[in-house]
Amino acid sequence: MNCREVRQRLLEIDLDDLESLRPHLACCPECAALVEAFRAAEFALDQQQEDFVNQTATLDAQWALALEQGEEAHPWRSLATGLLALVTVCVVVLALWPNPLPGPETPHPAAPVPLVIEELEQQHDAFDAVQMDPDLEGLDVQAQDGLLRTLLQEKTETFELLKQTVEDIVADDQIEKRWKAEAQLSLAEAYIGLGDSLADSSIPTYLAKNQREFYAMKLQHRADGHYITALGLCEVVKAKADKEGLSRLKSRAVKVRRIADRRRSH
Amino acid sequence: MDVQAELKRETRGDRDALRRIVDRWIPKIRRWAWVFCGEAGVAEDAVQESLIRLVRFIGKADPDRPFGPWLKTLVRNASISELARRRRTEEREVHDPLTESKTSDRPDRALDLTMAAELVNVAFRELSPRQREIFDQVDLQGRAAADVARELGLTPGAVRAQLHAARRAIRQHLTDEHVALVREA
Repeated sequence: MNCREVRQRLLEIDLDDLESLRPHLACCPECAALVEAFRAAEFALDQQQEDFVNQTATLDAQWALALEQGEEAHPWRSLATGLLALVTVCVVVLALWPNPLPGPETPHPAAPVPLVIEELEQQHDAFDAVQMDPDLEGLDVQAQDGLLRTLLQEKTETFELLKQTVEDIVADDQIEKRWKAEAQLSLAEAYIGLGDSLADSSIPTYLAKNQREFYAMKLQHRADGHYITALGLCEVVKAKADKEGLSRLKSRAVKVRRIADRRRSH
Repeated sequence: MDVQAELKRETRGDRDALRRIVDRWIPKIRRWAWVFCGEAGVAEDAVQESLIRLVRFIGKADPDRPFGPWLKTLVRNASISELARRRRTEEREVHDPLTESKTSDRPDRALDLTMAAELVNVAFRELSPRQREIFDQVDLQGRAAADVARELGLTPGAVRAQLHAARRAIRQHLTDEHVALVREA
């Protein structure tokens, strides 16, 4: 076995089961170092997770805040808070109205976010909120199929709404190019989200093992299609960002592109 | 006292019972948040959001059904909301730990533990939540793939496929950087 073959196998193998690679690793310091690097990385990740899980010093403060905010969430309280905020704003506006401050007009610190972009963000939240991996245990055939179909329909509808909004933004001459590119990147993220939902979707428990594997394969295939679309969109955004000199947007497009690429099954 | 009994007490307005439930489940809540979010900073906020939702929705938990899956769904949704909120309300600075590490003073240019931690974090964050969960359960916690498949309602084949994809993504990332560093040295 040569280094190339060993490294291919190392990408997926269980690091506790390296028997078949031992002869090569014993005489190749580079590949052996790579194994050590993998072990070090997993150890580091494990340590970080353990540190995070066992860190409970902030629990009392978090719990106090949870009680305060969780119990405040009753609708009438939200309404009362909203009304109070509205009254406060009105009082402030009325107090300032008769005596506007003199002085030169200052430029706006940043271009305001178009309303349609804010609407897009809300649609993105609604889309994200639909999860397609319910617990199907204990449900009969019809209930499982019905639930999965409903969730898929809901996911697709929220996605189509978001996609339509992005298309409207792109077609609108009044909207700046940077916002159009932002909207397209948002659509790329939604495609990745749609792919993730399909790939992680619950599989009916009443199916036989081979049927379940086929079902999962079909879902993964559809998810791959969405990841590929996201890749294309990221390329478009990256090119636009390059042209307009939007370095941050370009970095984000590269990052989203990398995510889409990694999610694809190889 | 078991969770079901505590839940029944809680529904009668006993907030101490809810706190006892939290004390018992907080390691799980934190682990799920970390896995769903992929990084500690976001996960800490997801834990806070999960506790708020727990206070708000505990009345909807069915004391006659297992509490774990209900709580996990709640943490998952809180994590997704937190990630979405971050994605869209913050100006995201793109950190590149690789660049930061490479420019630091590393005489031997070796892929040491600190650097491995930085690299693996980047790769781990970019996995899908399901891949993170499976990688965590099998490779970090050492559970059998078949048990994980049963718990997640997936086929063993699907778990293996996701596990291999996760390993491949993480290790490919490490390999690329490792080879680059060796060449530089």
